[in-house]
Amino acid sequence: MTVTIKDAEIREHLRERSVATLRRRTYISGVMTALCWLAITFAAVPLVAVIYQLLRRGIPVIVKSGFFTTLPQQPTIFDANNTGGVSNALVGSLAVIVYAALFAVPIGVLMGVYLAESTSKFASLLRIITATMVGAPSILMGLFAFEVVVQQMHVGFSIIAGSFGLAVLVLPVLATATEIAIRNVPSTYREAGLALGAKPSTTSLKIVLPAASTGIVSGIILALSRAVGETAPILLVIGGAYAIAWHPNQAASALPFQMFQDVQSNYPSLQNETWGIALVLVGAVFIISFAARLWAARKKKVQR
Amino acid sequence: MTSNTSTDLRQAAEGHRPSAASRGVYEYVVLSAAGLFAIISLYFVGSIVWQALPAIRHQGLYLLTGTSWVSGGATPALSKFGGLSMITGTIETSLIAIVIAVVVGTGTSLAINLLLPSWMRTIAATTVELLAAIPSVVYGVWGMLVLAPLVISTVGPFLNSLPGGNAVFGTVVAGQSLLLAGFVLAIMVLPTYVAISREVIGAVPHELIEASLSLGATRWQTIWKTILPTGRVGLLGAGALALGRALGETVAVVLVIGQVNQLNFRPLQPGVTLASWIASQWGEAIGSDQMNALFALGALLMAASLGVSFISTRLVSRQRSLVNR
Amino acid sequence: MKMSLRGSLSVAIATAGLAASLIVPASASAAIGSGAKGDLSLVTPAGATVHFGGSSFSKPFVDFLTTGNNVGSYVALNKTATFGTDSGAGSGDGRTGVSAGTYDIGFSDQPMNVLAGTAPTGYTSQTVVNQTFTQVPLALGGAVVAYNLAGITGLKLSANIIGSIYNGKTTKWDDDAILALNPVQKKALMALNNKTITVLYRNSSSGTTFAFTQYLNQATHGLTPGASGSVMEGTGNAWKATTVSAVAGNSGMASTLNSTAGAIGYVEYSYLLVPGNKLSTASLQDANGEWLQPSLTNIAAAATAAAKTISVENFSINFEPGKGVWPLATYSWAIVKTAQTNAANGELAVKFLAYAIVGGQLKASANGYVPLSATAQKSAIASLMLVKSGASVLLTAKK
Repeated sequence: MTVTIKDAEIREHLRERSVATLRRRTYISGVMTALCWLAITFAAVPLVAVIYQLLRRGIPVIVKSGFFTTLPQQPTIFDANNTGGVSNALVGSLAVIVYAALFAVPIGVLMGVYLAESTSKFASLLRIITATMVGAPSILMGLFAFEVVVQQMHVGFSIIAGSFGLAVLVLPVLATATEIAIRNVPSTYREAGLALGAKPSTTSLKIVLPAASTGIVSGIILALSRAVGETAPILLVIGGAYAIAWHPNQAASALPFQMFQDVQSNYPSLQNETWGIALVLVGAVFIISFAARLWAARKKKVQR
Repeated sequence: MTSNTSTDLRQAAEGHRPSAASRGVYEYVVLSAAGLFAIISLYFVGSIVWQALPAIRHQGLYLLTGTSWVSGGATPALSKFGGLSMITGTIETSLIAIVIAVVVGTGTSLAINLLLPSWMRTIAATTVELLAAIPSVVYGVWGMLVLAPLVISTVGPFLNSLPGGNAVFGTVVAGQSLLLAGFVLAIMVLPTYVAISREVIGAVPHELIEASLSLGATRWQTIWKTILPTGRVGLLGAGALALGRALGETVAVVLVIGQVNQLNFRPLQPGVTLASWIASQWGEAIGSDQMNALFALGALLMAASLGVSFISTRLVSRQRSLVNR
Repeated sequence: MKMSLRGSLSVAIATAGLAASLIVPASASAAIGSGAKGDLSLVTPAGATVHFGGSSFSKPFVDFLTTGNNVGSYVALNKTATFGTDSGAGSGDGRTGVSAGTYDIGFSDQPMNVLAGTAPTGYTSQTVVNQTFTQVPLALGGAVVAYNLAGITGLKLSANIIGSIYNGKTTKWDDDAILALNPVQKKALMALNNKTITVLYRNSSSGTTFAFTQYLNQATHGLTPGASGSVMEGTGNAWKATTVSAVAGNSGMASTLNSTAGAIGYVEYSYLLVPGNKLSTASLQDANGEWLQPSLTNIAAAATAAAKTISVENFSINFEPGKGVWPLATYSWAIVKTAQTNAANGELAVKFLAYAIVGGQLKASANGYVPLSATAQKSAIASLMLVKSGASVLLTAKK
């Protein structure tokens, strides 16, 4: 009997303890889960806050007549709201990104193909280099572009120097996107091609690349749309110009470049102008990425 | 390459394997693109180091330990270019950014993978991804025009009102500060961290999680004792990747850090980073010995970020092979 | 080259024929736009583009002249001219820019001067500098010490106090030394509750910083700044104050001053004329010890008191003796290469400068600057006429 009592006591004691730990564990778990919720809220707040500011302050700027079509003006004490537009920066940004794409897209895609298809030692080394270069700070591309284009090629501060910096920046991104897109093509495609007696290169060109093209193209678009917003690689080399310029050798302005200049002005009107440019930049990036994804998703569906 | 297609096909049909000698144009084109990139990458590293050499030769260790940044003008012998403030500023802002990003990012990834109903997962994941689509200069403008006034009016006075607040945080000056720079950086690197950590946490085998839960572990215990340890290598890699991003961020930092070349250790004080100093001094440095000194800072930044980037890639791929095993 | 640029700054502007033309009157009575002998043509080659940058001291004036819809601006007259953006990064940027070829015109508050340490890298002889670069004064202006304290205007700040603030010894607005000088504002200063002074300085080589430190140096007999006692133009990290922020350009200075209560800084006079400006200017002591508030009159008096023909070798007009002379005055210079590589751009550069130095001076006062004297204009034009592309002179008088 004493044994049973003891037994019961112990059992009771154990039960109490486990209830206590369970309660504590549940409590901690609840708190931590709440913290996870807090974290995700915290992650969402900046996006909402930035977009709110962009819309609230940016829309009045871009609806101003001539914002897209006129050259920028410097406000003076006689006309403190004389900010003009961003036509030159718009053209400059387009020119910079087009030249950058002409250089980077072919090399990036071909290199991505190589990375996806080759199993050589050089390929695995190149994969490491690529992954490392993706993380290289963008300001260093500015220094590199200065050294190569401005100094060694004697081109001077120009659109093409900015394009070069951006191109080097997006090259590894393009290569990686292409590599992934090709690897996502089911291996049966390639095997079928080879089984039909096609040469590996023919299989790649005629079967694998077309199948991967959606992924490659959307990768290109995403990478380039991000590159349009980059400031650091062009800041050191583009020269800055109030005139509309698209010739590679000309100095030009670009949207992020002009934002960076304007926000440091002492005229609130010019600082305010940056919200409009920001809205254009972010809007363009969002719409293009969204469209690219939508297109890729639809293409995929059709293919299946 | 298409002109030879029929021959190619015939050769392939005959079971002829393309040896190095008979590689098609296609192989050469693809290989040369890859080779070109390798050359560009080497040239990139080489030219920055090359331009940095004169400064390294003249300034020596002072580049790492000095705090003065004075151009001797026409007499370069008088120039003193010390990068200590930029180095410490880079470390400080990156640390602030990484601490915030890791805490918030891990929580976010856990929430996306384990807590949210499935229809909200995509929304949450897209939201975080969109943070990465906003250009750096936009964060800079936002930080400068919206957040800096908040630091002056609210955050700074609050931190200063805490016991010992002035000693720990420093006195709020103009809003632009190490803290603000770290905060803005945290937002900017968050998507990078979340992208990887989400994958890492998502890849933890379901059997493990279910086993933990069936043994009576609470959700948090499962996270703390099972999921995070399983993914720690990958999470470390994600953190390193985010750190690499934070180290080299430029324009946003220029606008929110205060650009003060001082050795400051309190979060509310202004500071300067390697990248932001290069950008802000570039104009007057071109063609002088100061330019070489900026290249030297660039070389330092390159070593740090490429190193961190290399390590992070290794860590992430190790995690992938661990999970796939 | 018989040109007499009389002091009369009669409107030297005309829009005759196809292109607008700048006319520098051969005499005071010359008819405007008559195309009379001695006029300077304003016609520039189509497609010419000039990149300039540097000093933010002269930037508002240059902005005015290169902004199309201002009456009297150069661009309003010569619509074919295009100009690059001017970020106003600082004088050092202007000098390296023109030396490195980034800029066709570099603006700097100190001319390239070997002794003053403002010559570009590699130039150790002033003779070589003078042969390579043509340097002309563009604007005469004053720097002021400004602060942001709502409702408190006209604070008297001695050079000693300012130096002490910048070196971190005086850190609060209700410091005894400040209170002692300002009995009228004492109550308001006390009411600020031990408000910390936020010290602003420039983050790159700045002519305004040069003028400011030179003034402190002269007015405190070498006690400020720092132990070196040298005049500083550079990044200013020798300041010992700890509650600081570094800003880019006079525009950054004006903007940060405006957004930071309790801040003090130094800024070019014309930046105070910007609408919506919330800053107050400190009263400074002239060389006689009298307290002054800045005005175009007493800034102009600095040039008169200097009583010298300024030159590249002798350019400072800071802290000149005399009653009612603003102690912080400086010329801002425009620098071009004497041998231009691109004839079209070079021609636009010198013709723009010729306009700015003569016709443009009519708009100087309204923009917050003091017009250059007739003598200064005359010698500047003569210098610009030496600028060549190959063998041909780019700025000539009409025959």
